[in-house]
Amino acid sequence: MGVVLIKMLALGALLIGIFCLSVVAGTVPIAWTSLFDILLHSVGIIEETTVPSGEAYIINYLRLPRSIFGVLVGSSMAIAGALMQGLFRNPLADPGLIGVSSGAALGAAVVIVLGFTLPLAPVLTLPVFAFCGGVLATVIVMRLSMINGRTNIGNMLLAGIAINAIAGSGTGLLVYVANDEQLRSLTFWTMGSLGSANWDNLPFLAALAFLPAVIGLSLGKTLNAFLLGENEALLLGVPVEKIKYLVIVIVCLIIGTCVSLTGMIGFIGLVVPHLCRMIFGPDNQKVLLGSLLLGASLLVGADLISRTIVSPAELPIGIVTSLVGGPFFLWLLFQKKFLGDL
Amino acid sequence: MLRVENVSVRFGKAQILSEITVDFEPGKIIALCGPNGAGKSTLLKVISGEISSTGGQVLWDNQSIADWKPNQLAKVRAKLSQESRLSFPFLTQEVVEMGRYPYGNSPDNPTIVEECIHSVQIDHLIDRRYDTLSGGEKQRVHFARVLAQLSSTEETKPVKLLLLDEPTSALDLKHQESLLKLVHELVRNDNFLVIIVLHDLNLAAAWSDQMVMMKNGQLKYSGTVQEVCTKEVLEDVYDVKTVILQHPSSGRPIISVDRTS
Repeated sequence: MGVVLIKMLALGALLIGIFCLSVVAGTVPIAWTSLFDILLHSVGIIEETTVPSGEAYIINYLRLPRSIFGVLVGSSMAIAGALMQGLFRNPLADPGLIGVSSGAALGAAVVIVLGFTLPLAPVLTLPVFAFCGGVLATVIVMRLSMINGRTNIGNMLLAGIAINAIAGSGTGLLVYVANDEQLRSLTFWTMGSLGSANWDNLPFLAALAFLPAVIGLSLGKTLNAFLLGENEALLLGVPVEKIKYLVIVIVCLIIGTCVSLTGMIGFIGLVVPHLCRMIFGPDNQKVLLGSLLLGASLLVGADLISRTIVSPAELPIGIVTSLVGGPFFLWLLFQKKFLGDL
Repeated sequence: MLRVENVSVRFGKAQILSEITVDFEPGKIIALCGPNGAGKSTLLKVISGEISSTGGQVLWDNQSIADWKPNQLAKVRAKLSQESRLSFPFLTQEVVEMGRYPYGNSPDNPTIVEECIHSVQIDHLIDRRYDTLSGGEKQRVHFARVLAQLSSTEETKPVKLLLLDEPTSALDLKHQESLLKLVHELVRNDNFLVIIVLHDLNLAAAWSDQMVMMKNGQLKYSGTVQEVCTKEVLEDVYDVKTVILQHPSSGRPIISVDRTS
């Protein structure tokens, strides 16, 4: 237990470090003292700040919300990945398997190419359509995977592949009819960005993605029981059908919300739980908590790279996560020691 | 205590179990025997609640298995399945600890897990990775897990139902014996009802209090070891001629195939 605690604290420290770094580093560098000044001021310990108003604005309205946004998206997506891998009893399972990301992409493509706007809140049109697309795809996958009133995990995998293909071809059709400008925004959307972060959409993210992720944290033991097989889980008193629904609903909310606000960000959900298994072993209680901390660190770190490496421009974050995640995943596959565990 | 009432199971056109009715009282080891495909494992799965019967019902403590809350049932009923797939590299100790999941974070858990590991004699395996164990070792680890699931430190001890599907299939002679001895002690001391599916008739004859013979999804014979282990019954069920000897010390039957003709 002592070792696990130390590892968790180290991950926590890593997160705090990367978070602070992500606030001070960027196109306009900020002094560390300004960050602490602002933080102390915002919790009311000191009354007046000596921070120049320009720096204060950048911290308060750009960097801080964006870093918090990164923390919430990264931790939630990593937990969604860990939940999926537990449910499918497969360390290669990805949240995209239940169709939610491709459905969201289709929803986004519809908005970008066909140019709908919601009458009351035009700004929310794309997130709302993407979210609904993702949820709809998941609901279809869920319905198709029911056999005799039970959700069949094998069927869910196959239905997910089919729905992903259908949604993908829908998106492809829209890409075909899109003009150059639409094509560009669609392409950028599929590569992801945390640029939409602001104080107004943070509460949505917290309620629809982070809260379900925190609920998912409590499923560690249940998912361990699932690894013995569905029947064994049932024998250990797990209400198997309810848990399957709960996991799918949680993953769908997390991925639907994150994708609708950030576009597609690959590899976090797949790689982070893997890393945590290498650090903590297969116990899902530790993997879930570790994923929360490490997922947040990695995404905030990736965002930091994406907005500093070609500064003042911004590289889409999906490129960074895939560029780092892809080779890492290959390295995982070629690790002989680890190959046995798959 | 355990009442199996007119239980039938069909998979598509195949009738796996037909109208099985039988009662079992606690304090006994019941051996469930019969040829391959007789429906033994299916009957065990219906009793455990893993599959629901297409007809009839199973009652435990006068309440249908289907109406029990999963978590409550898990504290009084456990099952050692024939195969448990677990491909993630858990430590042996962690696998045994899973048996305590129905109890949440009860303070008794570490003591009980330690006791169960000790009584199944897998102390030397606790730090090994489960996926590196041999088949027999895995079977014993799961047996310890199942024991941990049914152990309680409460004053009032409800009757526990322990279901074992071929628990000795991968075990050597010594461990077959020590597992069944342990089961025997549970039944004598702790108010257990144990139902074991066994292919080895000699083990069944040596350790059970009641033998149940199944064939073609039907319950053909049920009675004491002496009543069921007769040439006539065995020829009827297995369609093979047998010779029956007597164990020199226990007096229990020893069964072998008659190879004279």
